[in-house]
Amino acid sequence: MISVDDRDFQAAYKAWLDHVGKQTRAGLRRYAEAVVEAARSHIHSESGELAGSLGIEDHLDQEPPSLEVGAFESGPEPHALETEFGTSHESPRPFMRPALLEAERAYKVDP
Amino acid sequence: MANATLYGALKAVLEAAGLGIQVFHDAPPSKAALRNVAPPDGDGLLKAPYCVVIDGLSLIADPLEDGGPAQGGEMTGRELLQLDLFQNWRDKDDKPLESRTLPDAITRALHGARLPAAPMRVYSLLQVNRIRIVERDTRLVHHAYDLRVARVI
Repeated sequence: MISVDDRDFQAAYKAWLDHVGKQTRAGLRRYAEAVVEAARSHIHSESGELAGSLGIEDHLDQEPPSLEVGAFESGPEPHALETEFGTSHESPRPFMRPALLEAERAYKVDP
Repeated sequence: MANATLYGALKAVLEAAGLGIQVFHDAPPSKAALRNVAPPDGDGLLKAPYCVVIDGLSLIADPLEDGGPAQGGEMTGRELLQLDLFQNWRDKDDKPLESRTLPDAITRALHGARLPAAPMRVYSLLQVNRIRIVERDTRLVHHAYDLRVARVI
């Protein structure tokens, strides 16, 4: 019978997984922050309400881990959806979709 | 010269699908052309569903291939487009008028289309998302298609 002591391997593997998880979460946060910044640059309203409502909700410590990026409007007349997708009498002025594309390069997992 | 544009190529695909919808670029013509006579003389409903294509919402260039266009190489990128489908939602008595099959028929016509009538080489047209929004004030239902075209710039 041959026995192998893999405790060092298991410890190193767990440390590697922890490191990758930490770096992945950091990359996701960078992406989310880049999305918010890019989205703000696409909003041209004078009130600043919509731009001010953009933010990130962090659920990375939950299962499944996630980040929620978007307009968290609290006023009586939310208008993010109408601005993004337009209506039958108003053309869309998208701010989130271009931002999601533009910010893609910000998502990079450091080694 | 609609066919010499990305919009024209999309319109050609939708018309070839035989869905009986009008397709406009950027904005529809006046309401009067699209709707029946308003009450009390008419019902004010849309005569037929219609689509609006808005192209160039965003264009992201891909990383350089073959040294980039300045070196004689090809330049490619992803263009974001929106296609809006508007149709009657309910009549004044709240009788449903919306077609539940038309939105899927449009998805089937577009997703994966190569747009042969486009003025540039199109590698793929993908429907990334589609949402449904009810406009209670106009009694219309709006499907917004989020489209991405991978193409030569």
